[in-house]
Amino acid sequence: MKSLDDLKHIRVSAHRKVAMREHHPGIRIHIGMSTCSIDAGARTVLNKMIELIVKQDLPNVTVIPDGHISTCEQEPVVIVLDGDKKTSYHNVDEAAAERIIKEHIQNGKVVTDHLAKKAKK
Amino acid sequence: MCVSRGAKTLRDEFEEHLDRLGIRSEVKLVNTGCVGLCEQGPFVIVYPEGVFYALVKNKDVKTIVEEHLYKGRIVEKLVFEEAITEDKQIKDINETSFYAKQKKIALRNCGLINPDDIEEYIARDGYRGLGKALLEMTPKEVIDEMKASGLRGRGGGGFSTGMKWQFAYNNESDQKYVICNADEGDPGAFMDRAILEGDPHSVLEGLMIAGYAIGADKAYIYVRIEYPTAIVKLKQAIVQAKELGLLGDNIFNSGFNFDIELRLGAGAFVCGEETALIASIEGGRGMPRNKPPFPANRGLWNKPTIINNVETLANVSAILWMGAEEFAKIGTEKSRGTKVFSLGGNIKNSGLVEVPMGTTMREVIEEIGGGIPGGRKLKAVQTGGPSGGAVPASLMDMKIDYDTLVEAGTMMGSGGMVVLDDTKCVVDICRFYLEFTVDESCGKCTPCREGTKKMYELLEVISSGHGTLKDIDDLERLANMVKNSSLCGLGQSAPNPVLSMLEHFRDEFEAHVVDKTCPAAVCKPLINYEILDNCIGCTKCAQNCPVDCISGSLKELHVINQDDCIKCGVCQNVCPVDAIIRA
Repeated sequence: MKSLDDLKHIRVSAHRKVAMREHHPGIRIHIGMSTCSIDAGARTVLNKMIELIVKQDLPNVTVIPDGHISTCEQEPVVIVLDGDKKTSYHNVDEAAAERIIKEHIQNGKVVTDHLAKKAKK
Repeated sequence: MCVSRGAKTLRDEFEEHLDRLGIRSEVKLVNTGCVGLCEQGPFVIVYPEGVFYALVKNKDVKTIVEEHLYKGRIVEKLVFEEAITEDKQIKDINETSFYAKQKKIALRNCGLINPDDIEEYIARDGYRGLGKALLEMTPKEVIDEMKASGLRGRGGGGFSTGMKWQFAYNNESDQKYVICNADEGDPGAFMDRAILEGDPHSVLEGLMIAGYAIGADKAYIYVRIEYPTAIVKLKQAIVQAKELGLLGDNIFNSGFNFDIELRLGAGAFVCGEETALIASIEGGRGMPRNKPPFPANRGLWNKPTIINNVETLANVSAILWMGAEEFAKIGTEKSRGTKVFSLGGNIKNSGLVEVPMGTTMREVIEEIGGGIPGGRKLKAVQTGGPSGGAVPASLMDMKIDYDTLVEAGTMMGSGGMVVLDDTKCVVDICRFYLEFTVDESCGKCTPCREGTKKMYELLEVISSGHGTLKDIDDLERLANMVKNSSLCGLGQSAPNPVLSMLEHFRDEFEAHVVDKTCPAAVCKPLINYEILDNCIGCTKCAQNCPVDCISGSLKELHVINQDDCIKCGVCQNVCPVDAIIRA
């Protein structure tokens, strides 16, 4: 270990290993993972979102698999919680998942195409 | 890893079920250290939700994997009861009554990292304190920082860490040493073990900082041989630190060299005393020496040596990073920071807790500890293991720190807290502790060697029913003599349980000799087992009595022959209607 920079390098690259293990503020993304969600393809959505978050190194974003959120026709369901704001997306597929991450999470613009039929609260 | 409750096989179960469902690659399994609440272990914590499963058995793993990890449905019945609300919402573990008042500094990483992976220690700011010390501070500045923090020895001595380092720093010598005292000997104490097994690097970093401060380039960790897992973790940590150049020559290109070696104990409580420990490392029998000279002046092989406890060192590495000022904000004026206590005895939540100094005894026992189970009343809290005394129920609102405990007639010791309810006998407790110290006395000085033995014999006599009031007076005089004239801390503190119990519970001692009774119904020679009249005559007691001293026919009240009874208690255990009592 030749310098503090060497130490920092390890710290930053190892951060992902321990990052999840405490109480986290920031954006929480809930993805329904009930039996019908999985049937509808929720696992792919989950994996895609996690992959993108890691790749883009987005800070303060957590993906939380959830239980039954909505009715089966609307699966897969994704709910984005940002402070007080709650945005519900229905029938999310892999492409929509990518758009949610890129447009909503990164740029703050809600993806209108996949919004839940009932208005967002 | 609550190994004694079967945690090791849990991991295999997880691997098997995750493989079966094809999601092994999506789930990271991490073995971690102690989270403190022994009563509810083994624990499985699932992130990022932060769900805290408790009392997990092998057969529960299948359910957790299928329901929670595969389907996303939290298994409510397995969640730690305090971490889930009435309407089944997950509560943050830090809001439960066990954890809410705790503050983790020494235990900051325990339960949050994999102790086998140095990168996880580094990811949580590990070795930053060392970097700061070596590259931005002079040794004198490090010592000043330690003094400013107010850190006092956590092994029980409570001496100012900064001042101890200053003494060693002041001595000119061609060689100096740092020793980590990992010989945690108090029965029931396992704070150091949790740190050694759960976060060994915090100790290594602390040693290096100490070495830099005083001018030493070599450290020994003296660890008791009864801690095999700790030994493995330490050895591994040393290897990993060396691989990354965090131990060895020219660390951080600063010119500072350091090496750490392990030395193993061999089962002697007295080797936790610093001069006996030094004698042991030198290859001699673990026997203490006169102080002065103090080790900071003449210690290991007559060189200036500082000996610090495991918990102290875990605090050192934290302080150098968080800053003395931040640390000093916690705790009381003369006792800064936190202390790890091992809570045991008659308490609902037994385990390890780390609280700021100044927390009251009542908060620890009632709020964090969850109170006394079985509806029983608190009698006293025995602190400091065999070297300490009792805090009676009347002093429950005292704020805990080094000095308040001494004023109350006891001491902090290494942090053991044994809760005693009204079914515990103070004479029996003293006898138990003296039995330990008699066995562990090294024999070098007469007051301890002969005095503790005689004290033990007196306690036996008192609890036998053959004692007199004079025996109690003799016990007290002897206790004071042993305390004042023993060579080392073992003898000087062995009488503490007796002196403290005599001060707060003298009437209980007197009941043993005057009334020939044991109020708590513990001391065998003074108790009788009796069958009450709700006996249903099932004959179970008579059948199980090893000396056939119970008579009675079927469906009739049974009677114990007190002359033959050996007070084994089997009859009480087998009675299906609880008709047998101890009086």
